[in-house]
Amino acid sequence: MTRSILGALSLLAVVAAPLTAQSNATLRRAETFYRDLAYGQAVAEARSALGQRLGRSDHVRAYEILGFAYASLDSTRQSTEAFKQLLFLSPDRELDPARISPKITSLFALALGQVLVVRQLRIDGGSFLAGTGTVPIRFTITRNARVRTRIVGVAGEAMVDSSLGDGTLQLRWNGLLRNGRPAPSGDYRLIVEASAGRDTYAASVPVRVVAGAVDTVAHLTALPGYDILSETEIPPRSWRPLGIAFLATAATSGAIIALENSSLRSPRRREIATIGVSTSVVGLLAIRKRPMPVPAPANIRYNALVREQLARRNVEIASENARRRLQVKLAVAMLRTAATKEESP
Amino acid sequence: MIARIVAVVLLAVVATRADAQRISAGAQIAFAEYAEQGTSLRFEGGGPSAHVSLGWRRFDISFSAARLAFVPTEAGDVAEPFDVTQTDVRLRVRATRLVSVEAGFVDREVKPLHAAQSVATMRLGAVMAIPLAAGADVAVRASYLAGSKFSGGGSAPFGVEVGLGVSYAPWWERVRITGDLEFQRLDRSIASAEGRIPAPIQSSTARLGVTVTY
Repeated sequence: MTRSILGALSLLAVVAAPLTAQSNATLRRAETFYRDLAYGQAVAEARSALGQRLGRSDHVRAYEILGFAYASLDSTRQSTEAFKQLLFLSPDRELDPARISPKITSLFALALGQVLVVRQLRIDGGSFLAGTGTVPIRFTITRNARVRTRIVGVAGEAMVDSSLGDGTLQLRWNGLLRNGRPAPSGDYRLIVEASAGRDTYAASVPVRVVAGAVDTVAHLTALPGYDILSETEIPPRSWRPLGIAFLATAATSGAIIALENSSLRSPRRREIATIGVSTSVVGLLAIRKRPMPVPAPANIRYNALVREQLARRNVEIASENARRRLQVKLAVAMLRTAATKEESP
Repeated sequence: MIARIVAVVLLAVVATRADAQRISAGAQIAFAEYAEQGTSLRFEGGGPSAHVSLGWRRFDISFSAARLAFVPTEAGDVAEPFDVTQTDVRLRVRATRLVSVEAGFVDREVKPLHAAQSVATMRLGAVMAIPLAAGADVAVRASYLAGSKFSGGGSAPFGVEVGLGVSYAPWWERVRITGDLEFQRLDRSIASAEGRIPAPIQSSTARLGVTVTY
């Protein structure tokens, strides 16, 4: 009695919602018999339903009722077989061990170990540079098998991996097709084929690839943290202007006196005196004025180094941009997550 | 005539002035000494002077003209007053931050003709302009005077010019008070039956005025 109640509760808890969507009358009767703990009749109705033309979800439901009913009838082998068929149809199906009878979940686990299916096939969406970055692909193989993973589309195909493995496998696709070129934009299928002896299984998910140009880097106009400094500086006030004025006056007067023709020598030299005095006065006044900016060698050298670095960095950026213009940025997204059974033993 | 030409050139350049162009013009009072052939021909004089200069990058060209009236410094029958119209053209090219080389032409016309020597000569020299402070600078120049032609004949294988210039902007950078000294010596000699007779010419001209730079 307890066993029957547990089985019914388990079925209700897990498949209540999908069962309500059933369209096949025979299948609905099978479910009703199961709820009424009439497992023999439930099995008979479910088998009868399987003989009819059913949709995929009804097929899954029929095998599920069979698996649960056989388990309730302690028909281990038949329950396992029903669960195996269920897994071929719906490999991602899980039973919650917290809510379903351990007897049923253990039979489900037994079936899982006996079939070869690819479960939880996923490709993580994201953007990456074709040939440089990768996009992760994950799935689970229920038995040790040779696994071939491919990306197939109208534009071509790529072999992602071919190896032996079981359990959870994590692969990466670099976005390149078999011809070595980045995958063009379009819809592709990620196909995982597993084979172990005579058993083979293939699962696939649709994938959308959007190819685009890689962003280029902007050229620099300044190095962050390195400002261009003023190449001139105002020296402190000094007597230098007066000294220069005196020197210029003395040099010119001396030169004129030296160059004067001895027979034409001027006794007054008022022109020299006037301009000489004027120059000296200007020299004196210039002391009070703001000195002329003079070149700042340290700043000039520093600026030259900064400009050199800036030019070098921009050359590197130009080179990087030239490389990026040849690259393709791929955005990969899985269109839906349900795996599709392709073939069964 | 010269003033008209200068005005036209100035207007043309001002109308299309680029950043690298510099234009300046000024007027001065000039006073000078002039001596020839010994102490008997010694003169002093003065008069107005004007100049305009155009600069573009490392190049500068300047025109100046002065009209000076000379009178003998000593009374006598030999010397008589005369007027001089002096025209200068200079082309300067900045060679370093401070030094420019210059080439030019001097033309000094004397009226009446027999009172003194009219001279036309080429100059080739260098100018060193030293900034003293913002709006103040001093310039020293020296030139060799070559190919001199004189109204009275003769030649001057040696001729030299030495100059000193100063400018000061008391209020605005563009308006400057200027002073300029120009000393010329021409070792002129004339041919005669006894050979070549020296007839040297020497002059000193000082100019004080105002220059406006644009």
